[in-house]
Amino acid sequence: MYTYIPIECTRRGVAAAIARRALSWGGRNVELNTIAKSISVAALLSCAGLGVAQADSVLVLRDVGDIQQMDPLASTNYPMRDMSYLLWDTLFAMDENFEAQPQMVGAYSVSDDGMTYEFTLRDGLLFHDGAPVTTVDVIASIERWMTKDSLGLQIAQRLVSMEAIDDSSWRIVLNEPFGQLLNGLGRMTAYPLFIMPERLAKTPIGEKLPDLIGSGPFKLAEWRPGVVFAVEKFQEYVPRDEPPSNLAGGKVAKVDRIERATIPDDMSAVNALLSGEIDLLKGIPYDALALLDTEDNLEYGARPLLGQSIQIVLNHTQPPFDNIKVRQAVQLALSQQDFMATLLGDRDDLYEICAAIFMCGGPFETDVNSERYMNENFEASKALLEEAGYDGTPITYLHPVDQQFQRDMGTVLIDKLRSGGFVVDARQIDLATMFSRRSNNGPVSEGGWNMFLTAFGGDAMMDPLTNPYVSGACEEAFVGWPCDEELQANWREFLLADTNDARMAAAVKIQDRSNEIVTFVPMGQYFGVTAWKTSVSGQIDSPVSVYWNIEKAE
Amino acid sequence: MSATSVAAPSLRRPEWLNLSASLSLSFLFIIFVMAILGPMFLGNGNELNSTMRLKPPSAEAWFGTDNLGRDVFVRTVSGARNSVVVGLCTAVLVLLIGGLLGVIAGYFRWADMVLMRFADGLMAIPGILLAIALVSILGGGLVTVIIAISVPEIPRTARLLRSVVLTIRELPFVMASVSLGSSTPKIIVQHILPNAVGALMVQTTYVCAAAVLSEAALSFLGVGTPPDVPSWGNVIASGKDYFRLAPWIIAFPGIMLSILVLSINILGDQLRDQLDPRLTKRRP
Amino acid sequence: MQSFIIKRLLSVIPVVFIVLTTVFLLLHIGPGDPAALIAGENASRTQIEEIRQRLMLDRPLLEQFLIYLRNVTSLNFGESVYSGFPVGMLILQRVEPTALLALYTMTISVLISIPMGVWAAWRAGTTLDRTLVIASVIGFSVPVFVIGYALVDLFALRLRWFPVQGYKPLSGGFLASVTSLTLPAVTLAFLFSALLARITRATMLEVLSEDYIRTARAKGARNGRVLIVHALKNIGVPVVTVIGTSFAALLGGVVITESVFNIPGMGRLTVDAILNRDYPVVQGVLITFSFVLIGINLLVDLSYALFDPRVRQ
Repeated sequence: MYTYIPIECTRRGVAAAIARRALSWGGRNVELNTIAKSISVAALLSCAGLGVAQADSVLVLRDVGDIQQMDPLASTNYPMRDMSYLLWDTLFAMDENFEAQPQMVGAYSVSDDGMTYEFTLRDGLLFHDGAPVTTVDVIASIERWMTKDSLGLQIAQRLVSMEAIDDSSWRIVLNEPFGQLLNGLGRMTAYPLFIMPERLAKTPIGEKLPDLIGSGPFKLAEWRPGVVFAVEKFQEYVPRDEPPSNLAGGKVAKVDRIERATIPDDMSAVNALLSGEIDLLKGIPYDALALLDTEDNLEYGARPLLGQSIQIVLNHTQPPFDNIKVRQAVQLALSQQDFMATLLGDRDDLYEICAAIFMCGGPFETDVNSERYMNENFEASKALLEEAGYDGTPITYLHPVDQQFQRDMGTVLIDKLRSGGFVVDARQIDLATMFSRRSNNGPVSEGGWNMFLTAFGGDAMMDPLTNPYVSGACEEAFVGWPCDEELQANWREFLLADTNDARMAAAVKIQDRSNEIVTFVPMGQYFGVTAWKTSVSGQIDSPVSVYWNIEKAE
Repeated sequence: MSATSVAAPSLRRPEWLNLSASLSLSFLFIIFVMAILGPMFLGNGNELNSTMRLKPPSAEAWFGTDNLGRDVFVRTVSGARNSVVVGLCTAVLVLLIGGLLGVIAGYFRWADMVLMRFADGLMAIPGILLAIALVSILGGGLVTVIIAISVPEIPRTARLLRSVVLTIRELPFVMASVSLGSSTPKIIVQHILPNAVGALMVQTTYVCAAAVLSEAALSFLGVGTPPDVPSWGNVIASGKDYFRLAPWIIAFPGIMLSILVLSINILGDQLRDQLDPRLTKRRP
Repeated sequence: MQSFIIKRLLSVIPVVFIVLTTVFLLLHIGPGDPAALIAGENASRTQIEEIRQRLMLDRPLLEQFLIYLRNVTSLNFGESVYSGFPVGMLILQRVEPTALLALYTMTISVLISIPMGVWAAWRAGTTLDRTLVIASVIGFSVPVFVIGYALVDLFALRLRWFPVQGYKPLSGGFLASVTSLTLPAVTLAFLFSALLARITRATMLEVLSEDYIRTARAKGARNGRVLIVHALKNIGVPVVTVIGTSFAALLGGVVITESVFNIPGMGRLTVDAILNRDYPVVQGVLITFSFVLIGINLLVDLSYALFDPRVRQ
């Protein structure tokens, strides 16, 4: 059984609607063809409205993208991660100050030397099939996660042993004090550490999970790729007592069912919200906000927290961007204002001209060494290109044109680069081709590339350990492959720092060096907009999309 | 008793069709002039201006501006060129390749079997899906779009021409020519082609109209001509998210596109009635 | 008759083979790597290589082709490279809205266009005829999505008579399902009634100019009777043929309409799968579409043979 849109139309509803109509005609003098129209249409319409009261409370939401696969360690796809948070619980979770708080863990202790940790699960934790969550499941889940996540890999390198004490407690022993352990267990994004039953956690990454039995506040109800992903309240889930704070605190299911509808076309989605077919809509086109201003029963706001930023990525391994001066000339030719204005129009409340590579509003915000990209200077760009001996080698720019964001931002980017003295060879492709082509670090003539544009969210960009651009790790780095020993050293310093001040100091060094060698160029920080019916309340502020705690009044 | 006393439904093109045909011709003429001269005087309309976004039609921008602040009038005028180019190039490409294959299949028995099975195979794949697949494989661009639109059209034209050739080849004067020992190329050039021209011309107008629409459809699905090559299709597609806020982005190129296709179709009808009313059966 | 049917059935085999080969080659010679797409944003090249091996994308093309042929002949279209769901299941989930939309559109189109076409032919040369001819040309000259958006604006957003988007499955009630498909079907019907009306009119004109009709009219038969008895009998077969063969174009229109109205049908499944390079799904859907079209053509041909003995030779 499935319901794509929760409004079930019952025959009784239709009959009632017709009857009501019939009564109202009796007393009035209605023109004949108006009646004819009303009969069919009113009947069909009222049934749409009547069904809701009979169903359980259902929240229908639309977010951009689709749930194409369901294994939180197989990709970093955001929609999949957000749904995973409903299905699976985590050991620790980040609160609103981005500090790890126990979530499934009830109590834990650290030895004085900072190398031995002991954890105990809180009582009453069950999987969706009714089996209790035990240490066996936890250890298997941690082991699977440690083979994939970058912070998990760092923990694995320092791991002496991880063993069960009993069914609900276990011990982790490290070979040196490592301040990032709890942050790892409570990883917010990229690859969060979700606790799965052992049989799921034993599945090699890349193979399909045998089922989707979870440990979270909601369980899977229905999943049809490209159409809908629906979850139902898991009645036996025991939430924590604390109030929710970011991902930490009590995860209380306040609706019976959440349906994530896939609506690819933005305008259709807005129309669906306007006509009441969905309750909550993420990723509204900014220009469509004007349509919402006149609606009394809709509200909207900037979400998620921190938003995202535009990043221009350069390939360090191929000419002309193997020359640091040519890379710096790109910084000189660009400025954030036009990108943001093109994307958001006059909604300057929704964007920020931001110098920080770790996001403005994040814990590691700084403006060090950002002067080059904060002001557009075509003459300086041309001069630097001349100094670098740029010979007019075309910049092969991967320009996906099947998505409006990429199409428009790319059009602005090409315009700026040409004004700044670059020769641009824009390759019009689709998004799929960009994803596959950008992993090619060969010469352009062999399918390589020089430049592309993307937009990671603040959840990843805010932390040097999840920001994909700043490792400087050559072949091991994110596509673009910046290779720089000084940057690697700065990154390691951040990883091993044990106080917040030391972390901040290291983050400043990372930004200084990263901007010097131009790992990427940030082109503005902006918020997505989410709109919802006024009957919907209880959304949690977070850099990821959190759907528990949301209530829907009838 | 005389049958002529009952007015038979007229198959001859009536006066009014001539009127609409000349109207169509004038429209086509204007669009062609726009396509040729427009970009010379107005540029390609790619200039961005983030302070002029989504402005309604005014004296400054006659058709308003789009979400990147580009002038919709300029883009509509320069889009004429690319839409016309897509229509004409597809028509010519399909005419040449489809025509050639059709003649070969119709004239040479040995080739008929293979070519027609191949045509059946291609026609069994819905054209628009085949075109999307081709564009996403070949990469976006004006040339790719033309190829992608042409491929699904070729079998139909080949089939049409084959059937025309099959009929003509059985005509007495062609048979006579064969028995007199004329060479095959000579027969094809002297007898077959001149007699097939009519059918081909009609078919070509329909292909041209269909190509303009297909380009718009591909742009709508995000796999049409690239954004810096404005065509009516991709100007409309870029306006679909602004349908309610800035209807002028869709309206003007949409009207132009419909007029273009309408004019070509009416002209095709006219041509068909003129040349041979029997062709009516072939295709709408 | 029997040998004609057998011959016609056998002739399907090479067509099917060509479809299979074309679809396979289309997807495997182009750029765009499903392995990279599956691996996602942060993937390293070794991870991508592992996925490629698992999907057997690293094998020689010929070997992949043979595996593919073997699977297809046993009706095994494989699994979606993303969700891991069997392609057959994904297709079955999407058949209902597409089939219903196609039928609904055809019903509306036939009901409107046949009477209109007959009427126009009967009154050939009059103002009515001219209007209908021009209207039908307009009908297939305006892009489908422009009509779609206009209808949404008027009937869904302003009048609120129909939902803006989405599809309600039959299991939730026939009426709700049909309501959700009304705007899409009307959109498509603009195009198809235009096509059908043209053909009906043209065919009717030809029938009306046949000698026996002229004779009947000359004999003073009442106009209505002539029309019904003689003419309609003769346009049946060609019109049915056209309805059958225009199914291909209808399916093309369905792809666009499903995108405008967000109907989770076969068309959207295909477009999404092509853009995501989900090879097994693209193959499965294209092949299914082709089989449907081949099947319909076959039926049309066979019914033709039934009515017209000359074809059988």
